[in-house]
Amino acid sequence: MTDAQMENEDPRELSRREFMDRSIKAIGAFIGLTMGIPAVGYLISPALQQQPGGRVRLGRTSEVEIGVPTLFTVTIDKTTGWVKSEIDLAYFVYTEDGINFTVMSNICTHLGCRTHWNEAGYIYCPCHDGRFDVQGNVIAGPPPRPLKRVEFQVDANNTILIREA
Amino acid sequence: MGLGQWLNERTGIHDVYRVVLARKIPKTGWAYTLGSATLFVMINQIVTGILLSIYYVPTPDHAWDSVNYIQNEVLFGWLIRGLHHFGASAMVILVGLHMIRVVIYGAYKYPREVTWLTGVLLLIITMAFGFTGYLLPWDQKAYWATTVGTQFVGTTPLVGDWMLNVVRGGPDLSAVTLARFFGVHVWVLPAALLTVVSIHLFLVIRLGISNPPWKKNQPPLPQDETEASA
Ligand code: HEM
Ligand code: FES
Repeated sequence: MTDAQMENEDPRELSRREFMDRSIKAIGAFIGLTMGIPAVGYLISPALQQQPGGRVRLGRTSEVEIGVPTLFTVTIDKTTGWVKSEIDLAYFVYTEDGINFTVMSNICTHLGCRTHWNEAGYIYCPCHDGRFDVQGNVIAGPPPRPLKRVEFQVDANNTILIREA
Repeated sequence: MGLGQWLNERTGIHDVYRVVLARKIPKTGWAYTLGSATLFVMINQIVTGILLSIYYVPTPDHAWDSVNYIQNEVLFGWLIRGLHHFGASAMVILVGLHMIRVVIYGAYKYPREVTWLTGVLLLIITMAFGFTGYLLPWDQKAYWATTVGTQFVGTTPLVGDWMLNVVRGGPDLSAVTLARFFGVHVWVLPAALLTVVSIHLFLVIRLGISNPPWKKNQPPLPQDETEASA
């Protein structure tokens, strides 16, 4: 304070010291923003990238057992970051009449474990004893929602096609 | 009571501000900003380096791909990598200019010999950063530059071969070389740099900046100054 007063008698005028002080802060804020905004974009970038979803052949309608959710597994090539790898997708296909089908993900709606068909008559999740019926509705355990239904098409050769997730 | 005052009562933060940022220096010139310029680029290297480590992986099968991913796929990746890349060159140049300034102005003389010695360590650390960082993209230029750069070590009499094996983690460049260069680049050197820079800056503040040689009288040392004002 005393320095400022010595340098400058009139308190209304911007002192040299104060001018420098403000300039430094302004430049600092400018650099902070020009670094900070790209840095945030850089960090959240993977979440912004769209995955191209092609069509995947799941299997033939004739392979689906009547009255029992049948698990179809397909391997697709996927690029995650800089790594090209093969990942397995698994879906239950269910039909009662061989005409109308339901396709659902086998990923448990509780915390994401993989479910499988139990011969006792339900879809079972081993992680926390979650149980679903043949249509994917919750019968017991912690899962909050039915298994996720997936849109699909059946082409002229009776092949079930889904969109890559 | 304001937050600033509350904090100051407990931490003495105002004194830190006064001693570190609002300290008195003699009337000097632009040449005296070279140390601060180096410090600024150093902070740039730390920030952008940390950001690069979010995507970079130090293995021969993925290092180049991850760098390529940063450069071409990640939002602003080209900017972050560019800042780190050109900042590295800027830092080497600025350290050199800063040192030349200290030589020309005779600022290494009593009582600043230890500041000079820590400065020499900083020069070595900066060069080591450049050398280890150059390998990390694992492209042809990186691979052969490091082959040549490490080959020198092998020419040391008697222990040359053994030292070459230590530096490369084997007789040739390999996954082991890349991993250890990465470890040195992101852990060993930053730890060393921050430690030595702290000592360097402590001494700069404690001893005060030297007067330019064309001015006769040294400004008082900080101890004298506090006594005088008390
Ligand atoms: C990472 C590298 C370095 C950083 C961040 C750094 C930083 C600084 C800063 C901020 C100052 C005070 C302002 C100035 O005089 O420019 C300073 C002073 C000084 N530096 Fe460095 N420096 C580095 C490397 C070096 C090197 C390589 C040497 C010489 C071998 C050196 C020797 C000195 C000396 C003797 C002073 C005192 C100058 C005086 O009191 O007038 N520094 N340094
Ligand atoms: S994850 Fe399936 S029951 Fe918890």
